[in-house]
Amino acid sequence: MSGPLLEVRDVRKQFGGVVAVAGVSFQVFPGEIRAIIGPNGAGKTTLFNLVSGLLPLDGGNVRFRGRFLNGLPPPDRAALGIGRTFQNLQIFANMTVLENVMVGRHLKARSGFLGAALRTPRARREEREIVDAGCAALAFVGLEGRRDDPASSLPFGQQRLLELARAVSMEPALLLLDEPAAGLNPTEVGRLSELIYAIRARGVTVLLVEHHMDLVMGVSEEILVLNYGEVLAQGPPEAVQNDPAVIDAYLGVGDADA
Amino acid sequence: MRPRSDLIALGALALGMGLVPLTFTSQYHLSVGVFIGIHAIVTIGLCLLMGYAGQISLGHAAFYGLGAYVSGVLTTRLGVNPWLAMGGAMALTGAVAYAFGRPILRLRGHYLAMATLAFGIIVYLAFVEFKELTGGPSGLAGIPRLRIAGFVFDSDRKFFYLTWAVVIGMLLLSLNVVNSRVGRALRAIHGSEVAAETLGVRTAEYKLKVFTLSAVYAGLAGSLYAHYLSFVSPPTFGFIASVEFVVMAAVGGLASVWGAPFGAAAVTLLSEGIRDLMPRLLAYASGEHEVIAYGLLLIVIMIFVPEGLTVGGLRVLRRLRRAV
Repeated sequence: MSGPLLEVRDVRKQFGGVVAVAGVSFQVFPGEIRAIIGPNGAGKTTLFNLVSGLLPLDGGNVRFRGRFLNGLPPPDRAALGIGRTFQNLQIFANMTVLENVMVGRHLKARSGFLGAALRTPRARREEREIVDAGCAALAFVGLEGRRDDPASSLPFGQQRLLELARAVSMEPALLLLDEPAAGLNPTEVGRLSELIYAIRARGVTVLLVEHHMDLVMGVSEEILVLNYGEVLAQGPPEAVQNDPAVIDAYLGVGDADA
Repeated sequence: MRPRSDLIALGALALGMGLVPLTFTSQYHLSVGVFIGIHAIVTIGLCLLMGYAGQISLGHAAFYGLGAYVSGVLTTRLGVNPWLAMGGAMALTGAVAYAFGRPILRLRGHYLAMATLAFGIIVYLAFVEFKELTGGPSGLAGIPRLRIAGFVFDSDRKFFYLTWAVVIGMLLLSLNVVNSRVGRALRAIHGSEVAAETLGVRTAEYKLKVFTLSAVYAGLAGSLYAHYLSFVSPPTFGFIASVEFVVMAAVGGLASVWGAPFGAAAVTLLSEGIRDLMPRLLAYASGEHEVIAYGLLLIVIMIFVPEGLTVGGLRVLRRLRRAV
């Protein structure tokens, strides 16, 4: 594929009088690992919410594989192949570790209430496939030993991994990672960058929002810098690092995480 | 993924309930047993709605009543076969829940509770006011009994077995739903609606479907009620009944459909006890006083065993075992 997988054009979002995203445009190409950085409040998470459909656009448009996503609800975007994780974890605390990941296989099966109630052959076959894929996704992030534990019993770092496994089990074409390194210790961050490479090796395009600069500079091929809801700079890590506007914005704001 | 322990427990429940009529032979005891079973069917549905999907209904007695009245009206006014009427009761109750649930399930929390409460009151008033159809306040009598090829479910003992066979069947179907893609989707909605949506779960659709399903359960229970007593009247299906069902679900425990039969038993027995006790304590006590006891019971449960009797009971058992 030569065209962009995701195309964001002149996207705007306003909360009351606050302009969170003020006309941002960028493209993500298949197979890329691209990062979005910027000081707190730059509009990064808002941008993710606009792409995954959790917030309606106030202007501009988002295209995925050439298709306009405007107005499409989140489940439809998931069905098209957009997966995501959350900065403030959204694991299903009321379920086991394996069950959490199994929800990630929701779209890969079809059986409904009746099929489930009567345990039709198709429902049982799908259930086996869901369990197998769920276990595989847990093994991928190294959580297979905790599969039957309540998800809420995992330490924070492992909950992040669980969310990652859940999103990966969807087999998305595009994976949006919202600050996956936040709250992780240095060892876990190292492991995370290996996982991000492994996810890309599975043919998944990765777009991540991150404050952890070592991780961002290490894994991403392209970086988009946002500031006050606008694109400040865009390019490969070295170019962005040496961009005077970027240095100014970061030094000016004094971002502690950077 | 159906735990083997569920099947064993279902077998044990079937065996236990099969033995009950051998121990308790009085009509009164058996009829209380029938009511526990009928209430359990409603509560199982409510458990799916409240415990798994995290939505509330303060109007489930309306669906219970719709099931009862549809069965009553179809059989007495149109001469429909009681089994067909039962199917009709479930279908119509489901259809009403679907039509009503579509707009109101967009509401959350207290607003959803208020809307279902209002729905319950409207349906109750309909039972009272549509006299030509429902018989109004004086009720609808002469509802025929269920029969299969000459075998009539005419005694309390026969109906006890029928009711509990249905309870166990509905438990089995519900456990299958719970331990499936659908059950996980429902729990995911409860856990994090946002995450569920981004994983492809159409939350609005699932909420509507589980709401409809829980109404169908209530409709089935209502139909059983009508064919058991052969008489229905509005007070059975009022607001207090809706509260009773919620209390049954909460007392039994919302974390599992297994709580339903226990919650139904606890509350039904309690209300029988209160009905017995209240007039002795207070000269002018009426049925309304039951509500006070439900309120107290709910408060005590929420404070001391918020998971309900089943899960809470298991926890206490485990603690005892560890202590021994």
